[in-house]
Amino acid sequence: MAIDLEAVFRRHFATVYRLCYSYLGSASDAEDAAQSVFLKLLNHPREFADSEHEKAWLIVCASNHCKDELKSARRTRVVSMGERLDASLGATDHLDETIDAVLKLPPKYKDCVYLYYYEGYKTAEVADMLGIPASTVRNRLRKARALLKDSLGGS
Amino acid sequence: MDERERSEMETRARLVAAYDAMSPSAEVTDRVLARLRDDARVPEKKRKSVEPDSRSALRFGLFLLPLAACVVAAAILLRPSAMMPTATKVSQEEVVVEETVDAASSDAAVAGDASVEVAEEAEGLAPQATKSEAAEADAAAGAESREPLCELYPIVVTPEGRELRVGDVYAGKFDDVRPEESVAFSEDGKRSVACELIERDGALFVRYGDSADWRFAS
Repeated sequence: MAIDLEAVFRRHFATVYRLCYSYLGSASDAEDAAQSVFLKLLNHPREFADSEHEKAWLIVCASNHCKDELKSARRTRVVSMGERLDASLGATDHLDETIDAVLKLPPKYKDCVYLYYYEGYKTAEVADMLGIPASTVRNRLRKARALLKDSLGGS
Repeated sequence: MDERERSEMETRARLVAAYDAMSPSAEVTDRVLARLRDDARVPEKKRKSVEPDSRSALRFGLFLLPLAACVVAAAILLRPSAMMPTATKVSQEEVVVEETVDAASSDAAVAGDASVEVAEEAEGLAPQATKSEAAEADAAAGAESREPLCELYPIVVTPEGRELRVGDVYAGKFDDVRPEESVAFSEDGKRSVACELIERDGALFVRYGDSADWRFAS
């Protein structure tokens, strides 16, 4: 592997993996999906203006890949809660609930929530990254918050 | 800090903890990196086929499935029986009804029977005659003089294992009964009626032999 790709991998693998996990809900699927995303970069190398541009490309690529996976007819198996949560996480009930609520979010809200709440991007930046209007991002975040609130029992 | 800000901060804290819990372990990172290194060693042409063979085969199968469905549908639609217009079928049945009625009326004429009048009325049965009209015609013509339009099977076992007998009504799909196979059914539970069990678009239809009526089984 070219050294730059390994460096890119080291910089962004966790981000890509987390996003894939939030979409697909299982560690093994997230692993495969994240690998596919970096494989795309390997097969179609490109120049990035900076690290943020690189990260944005990987996030959008991961998001699209996961949406395709979810749409794919072959992905029909039911993922159990036990499989979703790594035993090594040592997650508490409180955390389990939140993870479950995140996993239950409709796909179109997942990238907005992840980018806004975890990656700390502003709504305008999320909008640029996903190629949608900022108002749509705000709307999706509002609906996602309501869904999370419902899932978490109003807390 | 107002209530809304506090709630937003709590949401963010919970979500950050949740996403942190989804982070890959060092073991996972190393494993994926090792797989990518392996991929990088493979020439690009071969690398593009990294998907497991089973997946490719499945995709190919999924592509072929609608094609096969179209072929089967075309074969069903192009069957000689399906090509025959409904009106032709009805006229064939009329011929049967007319023939039996004719036979009955000539018999009755020889015997000087008053049922000739009834038989003459029955001659005028329209193709869309109701079941009761057809039954009247039957009564006039004499049941023994007509052949049932389909073979009778008095008992049919449903996919759930329930045995259907004359008079039973069943709404469902028969996997073990082919279209055009016949069963005995009764509309009112009083008399058995020759009929055809035909499956169309997943629904069960009963075609009564006496009239050209098509009815749902339930």
